[in-house]
Parts: sequence; structure tokens; C-alpha cells
Amino acid sequence: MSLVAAPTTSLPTRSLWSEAWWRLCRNRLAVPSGVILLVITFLSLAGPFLAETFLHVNSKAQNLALVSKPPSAEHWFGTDANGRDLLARILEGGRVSLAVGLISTLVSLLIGVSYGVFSGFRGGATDRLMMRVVDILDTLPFTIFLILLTVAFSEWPPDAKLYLMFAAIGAVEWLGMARVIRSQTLALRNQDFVHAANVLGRSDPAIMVRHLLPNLAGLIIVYATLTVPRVIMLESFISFLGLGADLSWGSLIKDGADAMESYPWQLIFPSLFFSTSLFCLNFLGDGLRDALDPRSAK
Amino acid sequence: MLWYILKRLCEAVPTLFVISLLTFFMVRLAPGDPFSSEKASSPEIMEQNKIHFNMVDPDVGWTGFETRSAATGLAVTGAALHSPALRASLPDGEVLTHLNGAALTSPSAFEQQTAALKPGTVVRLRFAGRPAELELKLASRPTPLLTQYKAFITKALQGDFGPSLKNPGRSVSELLFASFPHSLELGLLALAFAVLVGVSTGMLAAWRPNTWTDYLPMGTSMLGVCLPAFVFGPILVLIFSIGLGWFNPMGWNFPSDRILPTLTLGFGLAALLARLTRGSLLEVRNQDYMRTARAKGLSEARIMVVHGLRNGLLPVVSYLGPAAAGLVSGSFVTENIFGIPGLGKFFVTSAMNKDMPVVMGTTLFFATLLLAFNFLTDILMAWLNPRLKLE
Repeated sequence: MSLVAAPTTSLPTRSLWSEAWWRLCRNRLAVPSGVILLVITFLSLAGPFLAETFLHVNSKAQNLALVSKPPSAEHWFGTDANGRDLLARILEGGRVSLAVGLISTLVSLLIGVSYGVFSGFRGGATDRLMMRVVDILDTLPFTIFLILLTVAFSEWPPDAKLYLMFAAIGAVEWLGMARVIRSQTLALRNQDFVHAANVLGRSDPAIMVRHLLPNLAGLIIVYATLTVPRVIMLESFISFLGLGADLSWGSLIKDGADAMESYPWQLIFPSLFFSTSLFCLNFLGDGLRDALDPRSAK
Repeated sequence: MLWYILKRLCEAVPTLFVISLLTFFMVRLAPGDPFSSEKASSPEIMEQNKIHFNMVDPDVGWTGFETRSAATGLAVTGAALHSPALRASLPDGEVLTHLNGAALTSPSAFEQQTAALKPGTVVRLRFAGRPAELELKLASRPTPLLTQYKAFITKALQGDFGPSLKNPGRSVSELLFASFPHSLELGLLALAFAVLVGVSTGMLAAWRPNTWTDYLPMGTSMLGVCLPAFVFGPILVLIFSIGLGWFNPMGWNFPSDRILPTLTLGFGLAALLARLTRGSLLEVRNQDYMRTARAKGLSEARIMVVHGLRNGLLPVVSYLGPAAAGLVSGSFVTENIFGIPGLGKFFVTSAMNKDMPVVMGTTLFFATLLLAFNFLTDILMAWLNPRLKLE
């Protein structure tokens, strides 16, 4: 009982951020989601090394005597159709999927935030034009373009293809971000602190960066967290069609789906990792939204 | 209203134009050409194919010819072979005297000789002061992309997307119309499923918020949001086809074959619609006009259905545009999982095979479809919410 009231009395001057952090920590879904995500991220980063050291398996070594074997003591998640350890492959694939989530979201953030802040801050005809462009872009079938792009550059080396995909997915996902940031900027730019900065002779770019961005940070974090699962889903979608990365959760699910009649674990384990991550990301995003922007909560 | 419809229609035209331009250049600028993967086709056949499919223009001229036997030791490569240009592109100090054994006595003789040359033909050249002949095979010059695009769009506007590269003898339009009905059927089934299930689930959840009739449907819908079709579909097959044996794991022949694909494609959308419906109904509940209706003594059910739904469903209706886009990309996956001979599967296969006319035609078809859907959504929105028209 006293838990709820105590912090407010003992810490009367808590900042916006610590208050948000406190609200987030009270969220029964967001906290475990965050923990699970941290574990999955750690496993993906360190997992291939751990699997090599402790289980003596790696994602590339083929053992043709052990093709498509069910889970066992040596191969916890079984092996794939080429006799490679599935656990190691899932962890390695997680690197790609999570990297997409991170990098593509950053790309979309960069484009969306600068576009939104500029449009909202300028206002007037510039704003109308820029938002009209967003509206029109919104009607374009970007999934189709993404497929065409991956096909067009299918002969590139795998690494280059991956970076291209990161950038392309990021370049597709910024529209929503731009809209949200723009409307918040519109609301902010008529506030007194912006007028004050203007009167003090601050240049427009300085006002946007020094005064508007910090006030948009909460919104940006929330929206970015909700963009990550969408981006991961998009990458896996492309990989599932056989067009994307050679080893990511999407391509593992594809391999599993092709073999599920005889070897269901090849589908179940990658799907489990993939869906759990998406679940947690969505819950964490919702939790962050409730924590950083209590007004928008339900 | 008429003015509004006209305005929206006028906006769709440039959008379609931009889409066609983007797709065209993305497809054409891709490295590698569609014929390079074909086995056992001679260079002559490939050349004829390219002319046939308008990738090279036989009328414009040729650049670049390969040396077949360089008996003279002359390096004549990469130059333009066009009637007047042949002379201009000769190596320094060389004078052309004979073409295919015939002496070139005058400029007009040269014109006559070169007029009939086609890509792929071999010409023999003799130069002044050299005894041996140089044998060259002519290669064609690629048509400038802009010219290709103009030719493409002129035909496309008449509904002719040309022949398919990988399905010899069949036109793109023919293939489109053969596969689209399956996709349309699947899409409509999934849409109907999503709207019916999604909206009613959302209404159920909004009925008594924060009770188990809210948590259970909302938890399930979170499942739908997080399980994309390419995870959900295979899992459905695993359980209901392979495990329980209720349905065929693949195929599109019997009415029962429709069930799993519809669920796969519709589940995610249903989940989204349920969340949307719940959120907006909860918002609408506390509006003044709802309180007025309550004060009049109407029953809660009547208030919800008659007064609440019309406004509460606005976000749901406005989401139908993006939903259609989701259904299209979902169909790529669903049709692949279940082996449905629809447009989505067809598009992915064609894109992988670099069957460019088909990719162009399908993309434009999808784009038109999505624009039409957005357009209808806008009209419906304007009709449901007259305030929008004023903006």
C-alpha cells in the first residue's frame, strides 16, 4: 500500500524521466517483457560463442550423419536438413533479425523525425505540401517495392544485400513516425519556450535541435519501440519468401515450414523465438507509451 | 460530394504514374537480364527475344561488336556501328574498302550495304593495304530506357502489358486474369472474416472493460498482432492438417481448402480491427451525445449499436485502406504456404524469375487495386463523417 505513496513523498522533485521509469517498473507486462528481450538479445549476441564453448555446436558445421534429427542432449533443438545445429542457427539468425530491428528503426527514426520536425516547425504551405507527400507515399505498395528491390540486387554479396535491406526497410517505415512527430511539433512550436528562444535570437535549426527534440524524446522512444517489431516482421516476411537474408528467423521459419510434415521442431523453435520477441517488443512498447505519455493510456 | 470524388480521382492518376515509373526503373536497372538464366538458347535467339520484348531497338543502330576472328590483328571493339558511324569509328588511319566482299566505291554504296544489317549478322570488313578480312558479329544497341518506358506505358494504358517472358505464348493480361479470381476470393473471405470477427470481438471487449471479457479477447488479439501469417499459417497446418487431419495441407480445390488460408490471412487483420474497435468504442462511450442518449432512457444495447457504432467504427473504416495493402502482402505468403494459384504467388515467382513484363503488370494491377480501395475508403469516410469533406 505504502509503495504507491512513498516515492512521491520522499522524492518530491523527481524528473519527468525518473517518474516515467517508475511508472514503467510498475507495469506487470512491460517489465518481464523487457527482461525476456534482454535475455534473447544477450543469447543472440553471445549465444553462438556460448554454444560453441559449452555445447560444442555451431551454426555452420554440417554433420551429414545427423540430418533432421529431433532434439537431443547434444543438439537441444535438433538439427536442420543439412545436419546443422538448430539452436546455434536460431541464435545466429537472431543477430540478423535483431540487427534489422535496431538499424532499420534508426534509419526510419532519422528520416521520420527530421521530416516531421521540419514540416511541423515550418508550418503553412511547406507543411501542407510535405504532409501531402506523406499521404501519397502512404498509398504506394512498398512491400512490393521491397520485394522488387531485393530481387533486383539478388546478385550482390550477402553482406551488401543485408545492409541494403536494412536501409530499404528503414526508408519504408518512416511515414507514421513523420506524422506523429509533425503533429507534436505543431503543438510545441507555439509554446512560450519556443517563442522565448526565437526572441533570444536562436536560429531555426538550433531551436529544432536544442528545444524541440528534447521535448519530443519521449514520443520518439515510444514510437521507435513500436517500430522495431514491425521492422523485424517485414524483414522476416521478405526472408520467408526466400528473398532476404540467408540466415535470419524468417528464413529459418521458411525452412521449417517446408519440412514441418516430418520435422515439426524445425518450424516450432524458430517460430517460438520470433514470436516471443515480437510479443515482448509490443508489450514493452505499450508499457513505454503508458509510462512516458500517461494521457494517451487507454 | 461529387467535387470531393473528382478531387480524389485526380490525385490517383499521378500516383499511378509515379508507381509505374518507379517499378519500371527498378526492374530494368536491375543487374542481370531475364534471359541470362535460360539454358540452351543461342545468342541469336536471345537477341531476337530482346528485340521481341522491346528491350533493344532494332531500328536505332548498334553499338559494340565482338571480333570473331581477328585475322588482321585490328582492335575494333566497342565502337558504334551505324551506317555513317562505321567509318567514323574505325581505328586511326584505317580505310574501309570492302564490306562483305563488295567494294565500297561511293558513300551511297556504303549506305545500301549497311541498311540491311541486323544484330547478330556477321560482316566481313577489308581495310586498305591489308590482305586479310576482319570478321565481326554485330551486337545490338540497347534501347534508351526512357524510350522503352514510353512504349511500355502507351501499351499499358490500353491494357496491354505485353507477352510474358517465362510463359511463352501467353500475355501478361491473360495470366493476370487467370490467377486474380483465386486471390480475390481468398482476399474477400479473409476480409469478411476479419471484419466480422474483429469488430464483434472489439465490441465484446469494450462492453465491460478491464474484466475477463476484455482481457481474454484482447490477449488473443495480441497473439494475432504478433503472429504474422508466415508463422500462423504453418502452425495451423501443423495442427489441423498434419496433426488432426481435418484439412488438406495444400491445394485450392474443395470448399474446405478455403478455411485455413482464410484464417491465416484474416487473423492478423481481425486482431488489429478488434483492438481498433475496442479503443474507439471506449472513447465514444463518454461523448456528450452518448450521455444524452442515455439520459433519454434508451437501453444500453440500443445506445451502443445506434449511436455508438457509427462514430465508433470510423477508425475501423479508415483502416480498410491499409488493411487492403496488408491483405495483398499477406497473400504473397498465404498463397505460397497453401499452394494457391493466385496473383500473390504468381507475383513472387515472376519477381524471382525476373519475368519483367509480368512483374510490371502485376505491380500496376496491385497498385490500381490498392488506390481504388483507398479511394472507396475515403468516399465511405466522407459519407460517414461529413466533417472530413470540409478539410
